[in-house]
Amino acid sequence: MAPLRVVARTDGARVVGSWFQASIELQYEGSATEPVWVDWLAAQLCGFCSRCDELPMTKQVARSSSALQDETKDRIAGRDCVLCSPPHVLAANECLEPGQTKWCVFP
Amino acid sequence: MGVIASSPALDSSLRRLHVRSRLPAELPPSFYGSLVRSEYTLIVSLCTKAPPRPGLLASMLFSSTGEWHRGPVHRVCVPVHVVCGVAYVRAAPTAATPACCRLALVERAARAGTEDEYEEDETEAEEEATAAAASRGEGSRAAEDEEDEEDEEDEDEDEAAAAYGARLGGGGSSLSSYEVQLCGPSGVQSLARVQLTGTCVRVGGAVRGAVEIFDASGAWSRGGAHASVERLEVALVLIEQSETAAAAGDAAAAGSDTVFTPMPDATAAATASSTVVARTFADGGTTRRATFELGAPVHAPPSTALCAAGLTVRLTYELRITFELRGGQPASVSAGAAGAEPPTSKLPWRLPLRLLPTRTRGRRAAATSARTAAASMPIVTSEVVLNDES
Repeated sequence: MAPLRVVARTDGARVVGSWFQASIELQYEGSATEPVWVDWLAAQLCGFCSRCDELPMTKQVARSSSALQDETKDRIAGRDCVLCSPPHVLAANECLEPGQTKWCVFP
Repeated sequence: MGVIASSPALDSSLRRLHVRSRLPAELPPSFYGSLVRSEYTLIVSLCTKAPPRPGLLASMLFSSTGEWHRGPVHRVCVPVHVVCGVAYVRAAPTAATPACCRLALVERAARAGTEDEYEEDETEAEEEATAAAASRGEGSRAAEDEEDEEDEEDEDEDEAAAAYGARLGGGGSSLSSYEVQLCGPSGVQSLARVQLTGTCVRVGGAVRGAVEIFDASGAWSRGGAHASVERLEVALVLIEQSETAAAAGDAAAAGSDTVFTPMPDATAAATASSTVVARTFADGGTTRRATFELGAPVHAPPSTALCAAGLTVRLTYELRITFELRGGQPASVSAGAAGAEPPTSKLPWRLPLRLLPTRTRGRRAAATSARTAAASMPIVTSEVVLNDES
């Protein structure tokens, strides 16, 4: 068992019309013995207005597929999409050696 | 997905991928209420894979065609709080097309962003916004008028703020004055006067005012007994109020304005900020006047309306001043044990307020402060544990 951590950071508040900023980090534990292959790493910025008696946004639809999907295409009752960005592939077909870290930064 | 035969090791210390995106201007603010939520998130998805393994056992477990085995998709949801920098105009529920932005990938040297770099970004953002406004032409007239109106409000607010220091103590004419009255069996009696610099305040700004108790002795007749103001509490209260589609439809059919129906189960209130401005009104009349300054939190949504799945909720604010009175109860109540403290009662007084979005220079300042606070960025972490099959 070798943990691969996905650490995502964003600053507190963003103002409409300004730049969005975030960083994404892939950390592969140094005690691992084998490299790990990243098929793809993607990010998508979404915004929803939802009724409080419906599902919270963080409860995503369970997927069995390993394909990259647009999160805003899911039609969930009581939820309207107000902001969407196409899913953006940050890395694909990359290999992380034990102890290696990969950065992706949204300035 | 193709099969990778080699292992392209990454030099992560030198390679940082920068991806940027500008948030559209017409977005509802982040809001986590009791009736509706407006929230934004960055969803990071990760899928790992494992190469085909030689051997009989592996060929039984995995595909014999040499295909890679792909694991499930893991997700990390990073909440993004969006502050409404410009006036948000609610779109018609039927035209619910989401605003779009695009994440762009730019590879740069691995260094922290400097203020100069960010200033450049902000300038570029303003230029783009200006160009977009110019390209909208006639269609943007309403928006420009609204901006002009907001500018005028800015000036009014600035004038009021400038006059605050000089005139608030003396009760100048630029202040809005309200008289608080008590209605009882003995008639209507004036309790206090509330003065405010205005009923519009910017997100991140402050409501400033003063409360003056009229009775010089600190007590007045209420219900046959004497009461005194012992405590004052001032609060900025956010109210969610649902607009029922039926009421709106009836109003439209009748040719009147939209009706907002406050229903017990469809109205919620939350205190955005509060403060106790005075506790000494009963101390022999030593303090008869108190000023207050109540901050409108920068994360608070401005007064607006949000629409979610057919439910429209109007976000409004009110200034709530609670006068805590001691005494003044009917004799049957106040004549308890001899020497006991007279009972207290609370009298709430409400005034609707309008919370405006942050102005341009405030928006810039908010963006700068958000960047400089990068060290305290909230961190969302997800741990993906790989098993042997992945």
